Formats: sequence, C-alpha cells, structure tokens
Amino acid sequence: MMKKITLVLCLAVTSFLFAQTTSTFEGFNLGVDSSLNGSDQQGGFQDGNLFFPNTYIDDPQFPSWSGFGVSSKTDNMTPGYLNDLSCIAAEGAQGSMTYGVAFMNYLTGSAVMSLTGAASGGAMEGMYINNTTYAYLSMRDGDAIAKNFGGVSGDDPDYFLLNIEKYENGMLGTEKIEFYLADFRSVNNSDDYILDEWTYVDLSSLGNADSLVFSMESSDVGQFGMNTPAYFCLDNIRTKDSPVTGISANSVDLKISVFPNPAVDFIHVQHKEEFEGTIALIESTGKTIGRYDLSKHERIDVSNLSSGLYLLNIELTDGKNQTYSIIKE
Amino acid sequence: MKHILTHILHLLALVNCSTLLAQVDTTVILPEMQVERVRQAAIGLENYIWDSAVLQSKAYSSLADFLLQESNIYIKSYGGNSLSTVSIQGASASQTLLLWNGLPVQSPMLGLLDLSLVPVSFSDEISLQVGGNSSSWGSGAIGGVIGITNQASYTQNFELDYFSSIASFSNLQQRLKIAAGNKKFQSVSKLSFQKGKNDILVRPAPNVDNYRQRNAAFLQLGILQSFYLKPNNKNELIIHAWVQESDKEIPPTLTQRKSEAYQTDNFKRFMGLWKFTFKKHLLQTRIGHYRERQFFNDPQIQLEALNKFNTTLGELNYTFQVNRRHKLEFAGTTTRANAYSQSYQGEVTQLKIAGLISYKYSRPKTQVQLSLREEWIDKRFLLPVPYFGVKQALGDRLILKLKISREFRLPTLNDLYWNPGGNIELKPERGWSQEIGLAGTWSRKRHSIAIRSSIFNRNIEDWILWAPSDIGFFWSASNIAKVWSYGSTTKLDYKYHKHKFSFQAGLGFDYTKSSYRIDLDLPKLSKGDQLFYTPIYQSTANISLQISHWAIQYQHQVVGETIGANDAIPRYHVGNVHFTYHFNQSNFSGKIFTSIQNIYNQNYIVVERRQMPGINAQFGININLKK
Repeated sequence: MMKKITLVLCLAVTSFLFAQTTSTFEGFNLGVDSSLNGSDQQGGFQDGNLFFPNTYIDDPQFPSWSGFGVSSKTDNMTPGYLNDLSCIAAEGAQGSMTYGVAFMNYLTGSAVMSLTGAASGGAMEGMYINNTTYAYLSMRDGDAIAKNFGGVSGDDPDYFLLNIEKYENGMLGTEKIEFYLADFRSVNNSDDYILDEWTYVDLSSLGNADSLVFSMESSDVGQFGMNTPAYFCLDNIRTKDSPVTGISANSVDLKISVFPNPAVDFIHVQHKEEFEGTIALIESTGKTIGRYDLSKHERIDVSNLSSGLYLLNIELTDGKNQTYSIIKE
Repeated sequence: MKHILTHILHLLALVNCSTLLAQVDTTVILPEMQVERVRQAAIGLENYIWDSAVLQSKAYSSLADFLLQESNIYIKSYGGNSLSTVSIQGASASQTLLLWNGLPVQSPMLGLLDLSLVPVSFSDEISLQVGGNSSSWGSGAIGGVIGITNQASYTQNFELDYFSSIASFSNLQQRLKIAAGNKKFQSVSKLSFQKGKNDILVRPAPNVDNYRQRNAAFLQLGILQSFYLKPNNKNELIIHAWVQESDKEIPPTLTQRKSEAYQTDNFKRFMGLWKFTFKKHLLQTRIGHYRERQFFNDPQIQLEALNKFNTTLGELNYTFQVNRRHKLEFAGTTTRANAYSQSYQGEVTQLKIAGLISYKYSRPKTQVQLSLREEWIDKRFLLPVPYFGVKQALGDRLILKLKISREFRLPTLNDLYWNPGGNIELKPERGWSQEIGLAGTWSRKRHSIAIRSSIFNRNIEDWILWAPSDIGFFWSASNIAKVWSYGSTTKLDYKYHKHKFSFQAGLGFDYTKSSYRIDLDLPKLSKGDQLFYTPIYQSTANISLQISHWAIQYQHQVVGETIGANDAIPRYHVGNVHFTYHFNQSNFSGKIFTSIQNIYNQNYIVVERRQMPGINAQFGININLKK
C-alpha cells in the first residue's frame, strides 16, 4: 500500500515537473498555402501558452507588418519580399503544415514573444527554427539590396545569426543563445551553409522567462541597417509551464485580472484579495516606463503610449510576482 | 609608360590641381553664363556653355557621359547606359535642376532626372551653372543648374546631319537631323536611336572567372520636332515636341547571381515659347506639358510598379532695360504636377506658383544683381528667397565675384505621399550659400591662359532623410538632418593656336566637404560624416592637339574615395582618348572618329556592387550637308 502511494505521489510530482505545452500553430486551421499577417488587427496570435505580438498597417496598396505571422505557405522558389511568409522547407517542423514567421522591427531590431498563462515566468524547453524562403534565396543568390553570401569570390566570411534572450521580471537576462541560420565563416568553403531544414534549438539554458527576445545579425550590414532580410521561421515551441526550481520560484498566479488586452486608453488591474505591492510597466526593450502602487492603482493610463507590446509586472511585498503581456493599440 | 603617365596624373591631382579642359573643336569656357535668352543671368562663379559645334562632336553621348567628360562635376553612374545622376558642390541629385528650354524637366516624384535618358544630339546648347541659384529657378537649384536648349539658324535653308556609330558591347547608334526653312520659318526634326547588349566584361575578383554582364540590354528611340517662326524682328514663336521611349534591362549587382528586372521610361514633352521684343522691352512666355510613364518589372520577385505623372508649366517673363546701367526683370511661373503611383493612395496633385523680381546694375567694371523670389505651394507661402551677386573687375585681367543667396528644395511627391512612409508635414530643405571667386585671363600673341578659383560655403537645414518610422517596420521621410558643405574649385587652361595647329591643355581640381551635422542611429550617421556618393576630391586633366584635319584629345579623370551605403568605394581613375579626322568641302562636311574609353582598362565601380565597363571603343561617322 505504501509503495502504491509513493508511486502515485512520484507520478504526480513527475507530471507536475514535466508539464509542458507545445505551440504548433496548427490550431489556426489555415488552409494550404495560406497565411496570417495580423490583418485582423488583433495585435498578435495566441497559441498554447505563448503570445506572438504583431503590428499591422492596413494599407490597400502596401499592407505591412512586423512581429510574428502564421503561415502554411509552401513556396520555396520565389524570391523577394512579396513571398515573406514562406518557409524554405515548404512545410512546418516535423512535417506539419503550419508554422510561425518572425520579422524584426527596424527600430528595436527585435521581435518579442511572451509567455502567458501557466507558462508565464516559467522555463522554455526548445523550439524548431528555419530560414524563410525570402531570406534563404537572398543569401544564396543576392538581390538588388543584399549580397549573396560568400560574395563575389565565395570567400567572404558571411553569417546570419539569430540571438535569443529573455526578459524576466522586466529585466533583460544575461543568458543568450546564438543560432546561425547561415554561416560562411569557415576557411573551408565546403563547410559553408544556409539552413534549409527545421532544426531544434534547446532553450532550457535560458531559465525562467516572461518573454523571449529574438534579434538578428548579419555580416551584410550597411549604413541603412542589415541588408539580409530580417526574418526566420519557428515552430513547435515547447514551454515547461512551470518555473525552474531555484531560479524564480516567486513567479506565481496571483489571480489578478488585467484588462482590456489589447488596450487603447486604460489598463484595469482587478483583484479580489487585499494586495500590497508594485506594478511596473515595461517596454518591449526592457525599459521600465512607469511604476505604480498596486493598492492604489486599479487603472493605468496608457493613452500616451505608442502602439506595441508592453509587459506589466506585478510584484507583491512578499516577493511573489506575475508578468502580463499587454498590447497597446 | 602607362604607369608613368598614370602616376604623373595622380600626382598632379593630389598636389593641386586638375582639370585640363580642352578639346579640339571645343569646349567654350566663358567667364560668365550668357543665357539671357532664358532668364537674366545670375552672377555665378562657375558657368559653362557648350555650343552646337561641341555638341555635334559628342553626338554619341548621353548628357551624363557628356558632363562626365566635359565638366568636373560628379556623375553617379550605375554602369554603361544605366541610371546616372549628378552631384554638384556636394548637393544631392535632387538638388540640381535640369532645364529644357528654360523650364524644369525633372520628375516631380523623384525630384531628379536620369541623365542617361537625354541624348546630347537633342540639344543645340548645353549650359552648366555651378552653385546655388534658387532665387532664379526655384526648388532644386541648390547645387547647380543644367540647361539644355534648342535653337534654329534662320540663315540656312536646309541642313542634313547624320551620325552613325558602332561600339563595344554590340552597341549601335543612329542620329539624324533634318532642318529646313527660310529666314522666317524653320522646321527641325531630330531622331535618335540606340540599342545594345551592353554585355560588359565583369571582373568580380582576382581569382574568380570573368563573365559577360547579363540582362543589360537597352533600346532607346526618341524624336524631337521643333518649329521656329519669326515673322518679324519683334516676335518669335517656337514649338517643341519631344517623344521618347527607353527600355532597359537592369543587370544584376556583383553580389547578385541573376536579374530579370527591366524598366521602361516613356515620355511626351511639349513646349511652346513666344518671345516679343520691343525697344527696351522683352516679353517671353513659355508653356510646357509633360506626360511621363515609368514601369518597373521584376518577374523574379513578381513585382510590378507603375508610375505616371503629368506636369504642366507656365512662365511669363518681362525684362525692361531701363538704360545702359539698369535692368529690371519680373517673372511669374506656375507648375501643376499630377502623379499616379501604386504606392500613392490614388492620384496626387501639387500646385506651385512663384514670382521673381530682379534688378541688375551694370557699369564697365562692375555688375551688381539683386533678386527676390516668393513661392506659393499648395496654399502655403514659403520664405522669400533673396539673392545678391557682385562682379568687379580688378584691373584689366582679373575679375572678382561674390554671391550670397538663400537656397531651398521642396519635398518630392514621393517624400510627401509615398505609402508607407511619405510625410505630408515635411518642410522644404532650406539654407544659405556664399561663394567668392577670382578669375583671370592673360593673352600674348598665340598663347592664352585662363585661371579661376572659387570657394563656397553652404548650410542646409531640414534636410530630408528617410529613416525608420516610429512603428519601426518601414521607413519614412522627415526633416531630420543638417548638412554643411564647403569647398573649392580651381581651374587652369592654356591654349596655343597657329594657323592649322592648335594645342589646348587644362587642369582642374575640386575639393568638396559635405557632411551631416547630426548623429543618427539609422541610417547610421555621425556628425562630420561625408554624404554618400560625394567625393571629397575630384580632378580632371585634358590635352588636345589639332593639326589640319586631324585631332586627338586625351582626358583623364581621378575621383577620390566616396562612401556608399555599405562600403567605401575606392578612388578610381579613368583615361579616354578620342581621334577625329574631319573634312570640309563647301556645303558638305563630315567627321570620322574613334573613341577609346577607359584606355587603361581599370576595374572600377562608381556605385557599390555595380561594375563599370573596362576598355571599350567606339567608331563612328558624321556627315553634314548645309545649304
């Protein structure tokens, strides 16, 4: 009997420790060769316990977006920005149909993905990454702006690098994962590659996070910024849905409601219990732009903020905290 | 020998100096622009006019190639027969005004004109005024003014001029001019046809195989018809119609494996001019209407872009010569531009009206000129644009010139309305420029020497730059930059002439510092950085020799390092040789010529990642029959 109880407890603990959610993008039920680029003006996409912010400008001639998109496009032949939502593998990771596409913001040079719900403040397992058709063909063949990797001689030590960092409690973490989407730095040209297969990237070394920050670097950079198209594809992103013990055990579900989201003029912070603590409003760059007393501020004025993603970190006097991703329209 | 000559020329360029202008049948260098027929000439420091004799000998050139070889201004060329724009005194391409018979002709969408699309054979006179002249000509004349003018000779009854040439890269040109008329009426028809594969040899890197440029062919066909009517000495009526089509393939860059892109540029330009002269009064009216269309297609990336615009211009100009010393001029202009682009939200229209008043005081050794311009654009008045110029003779051989003027450039339609990123709140670029210079001439028997030197200073505020928008995923236009430009120009010319022998030599050197006065993250600029594609120094040397019917001309150009969007573009030098044999028998004359460009086969670029042609040759014949 004692053994049975121990086994049940062990299973329960194990299942708690290894609870995870995978964001596969399949839930968007896209048809074949279809995509979402934020034209629904919802400010982003929620999949599993991850939120993928998106900024979209609804212009009939030149609709434009940045942040994240969702795609099932299979065109791995057409170069150029008009095919910016296709993956070079012509499918999602592990043979799936749908995947995500990230496009860096020019100003920040980054795109930020938020961990929400049970994953908020927890740890990441890993994700699959690949090149977009646009970036891949640009690096392979060059275009009117960007160079072909290797240059005219084939010997240029070019690279296309994805950096993955995290925010935790409104602070940019020191941990960083570097992943090369193309690497021509080897003296031996036969080692040169441009990634065209979905590749798993282990994110566990980042530890607990409220959000992940993706930024890109290229050797082909000029006065007007990076010439290589600042895109990559992502899929099957696994969150642990629990904090890593000893890293940020204070991140908990405080049962505080924050709404509306997206917000236009005000954010309401509603809680049934008597709480004391502080609210920090944080930009996507990690800069704290406002601090408020939790017990007094049930409404935060955001009308003067620029559109985009913000984090709201609530920290109680006993050290417990929770972070919310907020979209300002 | 080649290395020695190159070395000497480099040395000359570095130590001082520079442009030797000279050519056989020749560049006319005047101390001052003499374009009274266009508008009362402003006192400028560096002015040139090339007449029909010069232009006839360069009939195979585009305006870009012509200015590159005949002047010391910087031409930013994407390669043979590709897009070519100009930079004068460190100003941008859209800060240089191009006039066709006195009316601006550049695109209101871009604020510039591709100089490779202007055949020299369609001009009877080309003028260049270096330096700001916004008061006279309005927006875009910050760096200088280039004028192409058509004229007729009422003294001849018939003229047939035919030019044909073949050149490297399968390039072929045909030009024809037929003029007929009498003392009161002249009809002048000009045709221009050129095509080529333009498959220059691309030499990417020392250990990489050379290859022929691909997707670089071009075809250009133009017709210019002019009618000149002069019923009496008081009246002259002129009508021009210029129709042209240009198809260009756009070759890949050095770091691009393939290109399938092409562009067509079509335009129809019409102009009517009426000139009325009565005693001390001169009244001139011009009306122009341009219909232009540009279509870009890149099948690889499935991109098509269509831009169209119509421009209607009118000008009334009245000049009153009060007496020998005092002269007044009043002018009013109106311009209506209507443009369509897939990147505009529908059609856009811009209306500009401007007024100019100018006074010139002249004495044998002194000239003083004052001008004031006021411009009204889309229901807004701009700041008044004043001009003050003085020319003072110092003794018999030296002339001192001084000029102070306000300069401005209006935002282009793309700056205002391009979607996304256009900004209708943009202000005009504006600032002040000052120039001072000294020119001297000495002649003795068969020798003559001319020297001139000038310095300029210019500050432009609200310089328009495209930078990432607040949202951060597209670029938008704003008045964020300030640019300070200063520099000097020095020219020395020598000429010897005896019977059927003549020799000319010239050196010129331009120093131009044109830098941003701000720091920016993107585009990445630091205070003091030189503007893109603006060489700090540029030098040209020319030598020409004519003996009886034979002539040879050598020209060498050295252009200092420039800054591109990605990399520094190394200094380059190019030498060109031109041989001519000309014959003349009563009413019949002609020329046979051979021109060798880039004689040292230099591997160079002007625009980054765009290869320029190596050594190449052209052979042509020109015959002329006059009655």
